[in-house]
Formats: sequence, C-alpha cells, structure tokens
Amino acid sequence: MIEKERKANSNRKNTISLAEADIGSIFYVHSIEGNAVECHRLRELGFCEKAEVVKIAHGAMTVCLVCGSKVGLNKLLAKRIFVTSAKKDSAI
Amino acid sequence: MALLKKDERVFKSEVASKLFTFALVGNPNSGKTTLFNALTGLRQKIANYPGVTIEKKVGIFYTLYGEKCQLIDLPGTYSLLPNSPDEKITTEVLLGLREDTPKPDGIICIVDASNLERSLYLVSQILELDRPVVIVLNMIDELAAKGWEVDCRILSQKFNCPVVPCQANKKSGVVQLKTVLSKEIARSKPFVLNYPDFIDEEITAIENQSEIQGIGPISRIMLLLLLLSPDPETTAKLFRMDFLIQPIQRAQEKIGKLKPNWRDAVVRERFLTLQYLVKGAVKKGGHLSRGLSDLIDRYVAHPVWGWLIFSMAMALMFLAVFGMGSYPKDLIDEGMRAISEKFQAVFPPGELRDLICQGIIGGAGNVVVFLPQILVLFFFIGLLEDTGYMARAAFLMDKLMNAVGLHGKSFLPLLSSHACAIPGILAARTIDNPKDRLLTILIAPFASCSARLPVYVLMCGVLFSQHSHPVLWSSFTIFFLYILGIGGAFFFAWLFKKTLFKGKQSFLLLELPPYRRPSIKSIGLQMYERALAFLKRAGTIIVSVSILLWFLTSHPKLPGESSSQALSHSFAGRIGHFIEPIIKPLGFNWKIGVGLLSAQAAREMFVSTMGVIYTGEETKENILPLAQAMRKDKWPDGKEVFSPLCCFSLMIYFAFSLQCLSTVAVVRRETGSWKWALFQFAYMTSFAYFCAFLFYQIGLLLGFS
Repeated sequence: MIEKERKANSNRKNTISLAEADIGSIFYVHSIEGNAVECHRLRELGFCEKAEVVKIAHGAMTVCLVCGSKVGLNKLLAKRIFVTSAKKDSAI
Repeated sequence: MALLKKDERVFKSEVASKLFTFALVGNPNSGKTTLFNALTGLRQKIANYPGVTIEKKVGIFYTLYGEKCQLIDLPGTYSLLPNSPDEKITTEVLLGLREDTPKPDGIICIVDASNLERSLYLVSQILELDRPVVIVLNMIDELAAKGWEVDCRILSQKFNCPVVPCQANKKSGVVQLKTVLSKEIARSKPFVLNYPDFIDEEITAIENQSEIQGIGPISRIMLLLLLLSPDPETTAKLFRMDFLIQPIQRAQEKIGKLKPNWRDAVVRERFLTLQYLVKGAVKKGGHLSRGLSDLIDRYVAHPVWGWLIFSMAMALMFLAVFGMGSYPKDLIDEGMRAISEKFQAVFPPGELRDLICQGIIGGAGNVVVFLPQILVLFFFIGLLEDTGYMARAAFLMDKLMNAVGLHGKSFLPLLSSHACAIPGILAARTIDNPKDRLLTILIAPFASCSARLPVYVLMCGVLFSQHSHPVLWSSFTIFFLYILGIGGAFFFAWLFKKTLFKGKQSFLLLELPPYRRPSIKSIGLQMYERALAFLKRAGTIIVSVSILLWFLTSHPKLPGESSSQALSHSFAGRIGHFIEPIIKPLGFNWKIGVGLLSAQAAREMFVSTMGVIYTGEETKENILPLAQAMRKDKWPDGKEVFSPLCCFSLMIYFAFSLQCLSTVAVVRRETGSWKWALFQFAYMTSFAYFCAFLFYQIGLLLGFS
C-alpha cells in the first residue's frame, strides 16, 4: 500500500491539484485519484489525461472550463484532479 | 446509418406500438425538453440547470405528411454507461430494455452547438448502436452571434446521419427537423469508431466465445461499455447480459495488468477522434469564454460574497411573498366574503345556504386566498432556475450539506421541495449513490412546501394582524419557520448518516449552465400551471372534504342550541373532543384537533377546516375574517385559545410533521417499499409532536401564555 502511494507520488512530480491551481491559467490533466466509478465519470466529462483545463474561479467551488463547457467541482473533488501547467515558464 | 425506409417504418410501428417512436436524448441542460415542447406543443417544465427531467415523458407530433409519431423525452446523460437512476432510464429506453416503453424506431440526439466535443461523446455511442439517428444542433443562433459557424453538411457526412441546426427556444429549425423526420432516407454507411487494439482483441475474443455458446451477435458498443464499466456486474445485469459477467471481469483483469491506465486511454481516444471529425466542420469566431459570466462566478463562488448574495436572494424572496402577495390576497379575501354575504342575502336560512356559505365558500375559499403568495414564491423559484443561479447555489450549500452527511446534489431536491415535496423526492433520482438518494428522500419533506404556506400565513394573521408592522413580522416568522424546516432536515440527515447510512462522502460535480436572461414567458407558464393545479385541487379534494366537514360540523342539529353548543355536539365536535386529551399538552383545543385530522390528507386542508368551523360559527351574527374569528375563540376558563404560545406551537408542529398522503405514496414508489414510507411518516410525526410539546410546556413554565 505504502509502495503504491510512493509510486503514485513519484508519478505526480511537477503536478498540483486543481484546487491549488491559479485562476485564469491553462493546465493539462495529469491524473485523477479516487474510486473507479468517480474517475470514469470525470473522464467521460472530458477530464482525461492531457485534456486542457482552464481554471476560472475557486472558493465555495472550483469552476473550470473543460471540453468547451463550464464545470463546477467541490473542493474534495478538485483536490483529486492533478494537473500540469500548459506553459513552460509557469510557477509549477 | 440513417432513418429507416418508410416500408420498414410502417412494419415496425404496427408491431411495436402502432406509432413510429422517436427518443429525444442529449446531455443535461442541452435543451431536450424545450425541443420536446416545440415539437409536441406540450408544456413540460424547463429550467436553466441540469437534471430537470428525471422521468421519461411522452408526447405526440405529426410529420409534414401528417404521420402521427410518438416522442419520448428522456433524462439527460453524458454516457450510455449510467451513473444514477435517471440516467439508467435513458439507457434502458434506448436499448429497448423497458417493458413499459417501446424500443425507439429513431433517435433524435440534441447537442449544444457551443459544446460540440463533449456532446458528441454521447452521440458517438448512440450512433454505434446502429439505429436511425438525427443530430440536432441546438442554440445555433447563440453560436452564430459570436461569429462561429458549423457546417452541418460536413458533420452529416462525417457522422453518416442527418444534422439539423436549430434554436429550440425560438422554435427555429423545427420545420426543418420535421422535414428530415418525414423523409424516406436511404441507408448509408454505419458509423464505426476504431477502438484501441487491446480492446479490439478482447471484444473479438468475447464475440467468438458467445458464438460458440450459440448466443446471437452482440453490439460492439455494448461490449465496449461492459468492458469499460467499473462495476461490470451491475452493468451486465442492466444490459440483461448476466452470462457475460465472468468473461468481462477476466478481460478487465487481463487488460489492467498490461495497461494500468487503460480506461483513460479508451476515453481519450474517443475524444481525440471526435476532435478530428469536428475540426473541418467548425469555423471558430470570437472567444466563447463568457467574460461577464466568469466574473459573476468569481463572486458567486466566493466564500463570503457567495453567502451574502445567497442570503440576500432568499430574504428578498420572502419579503416579496408577503409584500407583493398580501395585497391581492386581501382583495380575494374581501371578494370571497362579499360573495358569501350575497348568498346569505339571496338564499333563505337553511341547509342549502349553510352548505354554500360554510361548506364551499368557507372551505375552498379560505384556501384560494393564498394563491397570490404561492405564485410569488413560484415566480422567484422560476427566476433562480432560469438565470442559471441554482446550480451555483448547490455548490455554495455543498460544504454545509457535507457537514450533515448530505450530498451536494441533495440541495436541488431540497429546494424543489419548498414548492412541493413530490417533485423534490423525484429530483433525488439525479443522485448517483443509493444511500445518499434514500437519505435525501427521507428528509426532503422537512422543507416547507407551498401547502404549509397557507397555514403559516393564517397563523401569522392571527398573531400579527393588529401589530404595527404585520408584513415585516410575518416575513421574519415565516423565514424562521423555513430555516426551522431545513434545520430539522439537517439534524435528521446527520443522525441517519451516523446510524443508518454510514459511508463515505460523495463528490459534487455539475455542469454550470451559462447565465441567461430569465424567460418571463417560461416562468409565467410555470406559474399558470401551478395556479391551475392549485385551483383544481381546491375545486376537487378541498371542496369535497370541506362539504364533508361542513356536514360533520353542523350535524346532528338539536333545537334550541347556540352555534357553539351545536358545533361542540356535532360529529366533528365529538371526534375533536375524543382526541383533545392527546393534543391538549401542545396547547391545541378540539377544533384544532379536527383541523389536524383533516390536514393529514393535505396540509392546506387545515385552513379550510378552520374556515368551516370558525366562520360557520359566526354566520348568525356576521361573517368575520377567519383570523379575526379564530382570535375570538376562548378556552372554558376564558383564556385565548390562539395565544402566541399556541400559534407558535402549531406552526412548529406543521413545520416538522408529514401531513400529505401523496408524499407517502410517492416515497413508497421511489424507495420500492412501504417500510421507508411508514418509517418517514412515523418519525416526522413523532418529532413534530415532541417539539411542539416541548415548546408549549417550556413556554408555560417560563410564564408565557
């Protein structure tokens, strides 16, 4: 179990969760954590690997633009979506 | 891949349902019901948030050749792999798995034109079912206004099916769609998507195995969905393919070992293919990102501003219910009294006059006067739904909902329950997790529905009509009662989550609709239909029960008795006196007891019953407004019956109790057993009694009257 977590952590190097990402920036989806049902629904909504995501707002909810539509996520879920910056000179 | 030829269509329609059947399907909030209404002329509810349609709805329309067709409006979904009970209905109907619905002969896929990639994910799955499909590009005018162009001809070639542009809310493109649905269209090439090799291999292996076992051909998309399903057992049972559970599980294990992230790869490949197919067909114009909409979202989603906006919207709504609703209410009230007085003057004293004045006007009339306030409430709920704010409010409430063990999506059923518990309970179908759904159903009737409003308004009238600021005090009291109802819902949600429905918290994910200027026509139609339903109820159930109550309160007639003595000795009086010992500790007399008994059928019957009892009692002198007549009632020791303590105790009882037989019946249907329906009735009624008892007794101990 610990080994699995360590492996997942090393895979997520240079990534941040969508909850921590800056507003107004463009990101690529890196990976999603959580149970299989939740992950699959997210993928079908467009949150699959390398998909482009624009973060619009956060606070009571995280608002982002994915596949051309605006999607709201609660913090719990936004923390499970890991993204990388679309720009090389980004702070990530 | 095209519509069936006419001769096939005739054959199918005769065998299956006598009518050619189309299913209307698409993503949530893509405009399915708007198109359904435009095609059929019906007026099903539409709103600017996802998940309004939770049950299939059927309508009839005619093609340009006068052929009668059946149209089924289905709940919105993102995929043929369902996640919630409403999405399950869509999959079952499309695959022809429901006994109560004919398998659709054709499918109309409605797509939000500004959101093609996402919408086409579902469309591509439906196209693979190898059935006649028409794609409708909705909201095309909005896209064109931003300088975007979609070439329907190219899309039609790429997806091998007719593509029709449309703006359903303005009914533009509807004739073109009917033309396409009327045509004989020759079959063209089927729509085939390439799957990754590792999926293809497994599908071929399962197909071969099925062939050896003598099972007929299985659609490739169904096998793909089974393979992708995180819960293959449930999906196989849904598809009536239990025999594939083990082969699918083995295949999933095999693929998982080779490629840990295989599901992502399959979905990604489909999206990439769709991007490629759409590329030549869409000419991009200005930026689609909604500048103002995004800015509003920053404030609405803000932890401080968000709550401030929400609180202000709610406060405004409650003030308007009283400020705007009280004037027409008083006018109707006066009108009703004038009509009653006219009847008193025209008819000679006797049974017929009493029946009309006390039974019909005194009963139904007293409920009808609350119509303006109920309509103002519906106007504001419609306004919140139509602007697109509702989905945002769900997120605002999510943290609070989670803290008491509820799912964020439970907010929408709870809010709907403020209009009526029945649509609220049905709206719980959008919740994926069965435990969360049941929990929401169990607590939804705590939300103060519009049937409670007449009771609250009447009691506020008794309490505050002689106060210097009756509107302000009434608004404040009713706002408090609404909060009390929500408080009760949250308390029991927390309790049940800790005891009956232990489990992990689910996530909240909603597509946020764009902010739109509310359609006054759409809100007006909803208000009209609500008013019609309310008046129908008043004209049927409430009039019938009122006549029965009039009979029970005015018979048997004994000569020489005063009106109050006659009432006390009447059949209703005897029933009331029988239950009085049980309700007296709550501050209620036998007359209130009769009201509570009649309110078990429907809450607003309480007001009607009070009307029959109290205005009936006063008819020999003159007709008094109900609140005034109630205020005059005294206990044998001379104390006021409707003291502030009694009025609040009564309102607390109403805030918590379940007094609606229709709700009990719907809960039984939705949960599939009487167990939960009866449990809900028992716990809510006991809790209401306990709280009213505690409030009244503590009030007495503290010296209040």
